[in-house]
Amino acid sequence: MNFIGLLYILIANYIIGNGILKLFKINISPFFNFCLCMIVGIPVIGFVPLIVQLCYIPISNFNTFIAIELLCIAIWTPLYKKIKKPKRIIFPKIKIYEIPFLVIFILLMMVSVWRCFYYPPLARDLITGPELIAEFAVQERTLINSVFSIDLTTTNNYFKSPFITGLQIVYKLFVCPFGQVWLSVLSLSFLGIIYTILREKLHPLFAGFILLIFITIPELYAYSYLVLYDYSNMVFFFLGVYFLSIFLDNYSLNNLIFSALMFGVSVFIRTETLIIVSMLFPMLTFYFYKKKLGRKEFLSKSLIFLLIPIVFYLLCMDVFVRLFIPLKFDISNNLNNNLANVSILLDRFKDLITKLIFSNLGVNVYGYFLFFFCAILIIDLVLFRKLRRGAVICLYTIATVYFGMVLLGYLVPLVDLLNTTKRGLFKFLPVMVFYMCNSNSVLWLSSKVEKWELI
Amino acid sequence: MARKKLNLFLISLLSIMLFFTIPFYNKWLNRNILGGNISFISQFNHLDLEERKESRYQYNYVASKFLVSLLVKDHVSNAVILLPPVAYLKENGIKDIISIEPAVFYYYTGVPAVWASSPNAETANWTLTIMDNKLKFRRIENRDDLNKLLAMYKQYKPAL
Repeated sequence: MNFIGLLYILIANYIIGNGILKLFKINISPFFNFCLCMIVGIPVIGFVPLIVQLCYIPISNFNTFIAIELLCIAIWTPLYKKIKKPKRIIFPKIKIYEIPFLVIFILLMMVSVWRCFYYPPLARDLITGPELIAEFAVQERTLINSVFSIDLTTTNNYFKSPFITGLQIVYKLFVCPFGQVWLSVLSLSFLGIIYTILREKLHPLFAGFILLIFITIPELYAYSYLVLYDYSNMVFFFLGVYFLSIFLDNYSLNNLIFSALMFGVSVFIRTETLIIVSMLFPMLTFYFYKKKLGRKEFLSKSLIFLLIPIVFYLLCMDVFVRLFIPLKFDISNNLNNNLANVSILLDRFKDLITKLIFSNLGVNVYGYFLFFFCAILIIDLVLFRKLRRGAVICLYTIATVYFGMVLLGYLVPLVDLLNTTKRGLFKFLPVMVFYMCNSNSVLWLSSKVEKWELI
Repeated sequence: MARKKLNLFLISLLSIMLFFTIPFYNKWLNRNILGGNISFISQFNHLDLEERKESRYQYNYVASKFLVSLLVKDHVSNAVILLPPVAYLKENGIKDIISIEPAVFYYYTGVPAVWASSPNAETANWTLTIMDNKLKFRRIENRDDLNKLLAMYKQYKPAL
């Protein structure tokens, strides 16, 4: 492990992420800001080898280093007048009763980080695609390498997004031969954000407990150290939803653009997410209508929300995949040619509930998290009846992910239930946590404990 | 106030303990986090990259590396290995082998491999085959030899 290389990448990650947040004038608490900078920097760092390749320059340590430096300068150039002495990152004050939860989180994440570092990439989807390309790109200094001269008929994973390929190359060049450590940076920063969001609205006792059942979702925990697309896709999708909900609170354009950008990155990671993102558009239209936006403003904001993810889709499919994969890609073979047969759609709709969510398999995959969420939702609906706006946004998003995955399974038979759909549903898990922050019953209980503590 | 904080501390401690006494989470914690065959100390003592790969990929990786080491020993360059179908090996008494696809073999070893069904199967010049009830790694002598091998392997359905 090259610790200096790791430190360099982390600093570059922070500088790039911070620059982007400053460009969008995102105003959040210091710790949230730090975690978000780390997350936002990750996909940008992953773009570096792709840009180097686009310029026909060999992907070496030196060239990648120069490209990262140039990227930092490019992002900070419009901000050079605003450069101030960096503020100290103020970590939130920890209360004594948060310590047991924090100790458990640290222990669980230490195991995850260690496994992420120790083991080489495992998933077949990875080692017959992005990891295979990255490994030989590092050896041969080009993305169009000897991998494409071998027999690839048993896999189509090399057509997947270059998000992981780029990151694996950078981390293999600068940090360690297995790469992967970026996933730990992503998962730790993401959990930091989730905890901050919970702590902003709930008593630390509730925040800690909700994060505990979230971290211990078995499948999600496993993917915090096993590199695959779905964890990263979930993180950026959630950030899109979070900033969309902030936009719907204050109607500040910056938050809308940033939300669309986060959705865009999640589409870049898994292109089929575009369908789910576009299914969120009716909700946006509803709130625009309620707010009585003028036609011009309605159109411009709608375009921003839809166009940015589409640009990322085109960037992935029509730029990187088309230019870097010297093999023909024909999606038509993967599509359902019998769309008139709606029984497939209905079967998938039923199977998702009976076989995947409320089943023994569902418990093994998601633990009791989904039952916990359902219990809170039922209490909210029965006892409080009224839902907050944040809760409505979350419920709409959860339904969108659910129906979106059903629809994807219908349109693309390759989207199977027990692999793709199972991991695709990760997208609604942090949204469920966000719902708990907006749940009347949880907020009521939390405020009671807070009052009791202060009396 | 301090007493309330202490009470809350105890509640948080108790809630964590209760959470991990739920059988499902208890089993998860013991099997996936604390227990199993994972030992930090032993992993700290085995930081060599090859050892880590062997512990992750296990038999397939060790077998692939072994084959390539035989090629290196014989100073063979430009080898393309024809991988026999698993069904063929199992039918001939080699039970403890798992299917390996050409892309994974290349990732493990950097040496290209093909299946009998591969479009470039005719480029193969080495193979694994059964001779005298033993698994042997040998050079493919000529075109006829290759055609015979391909015809034999194509009788078995390739499986991942």
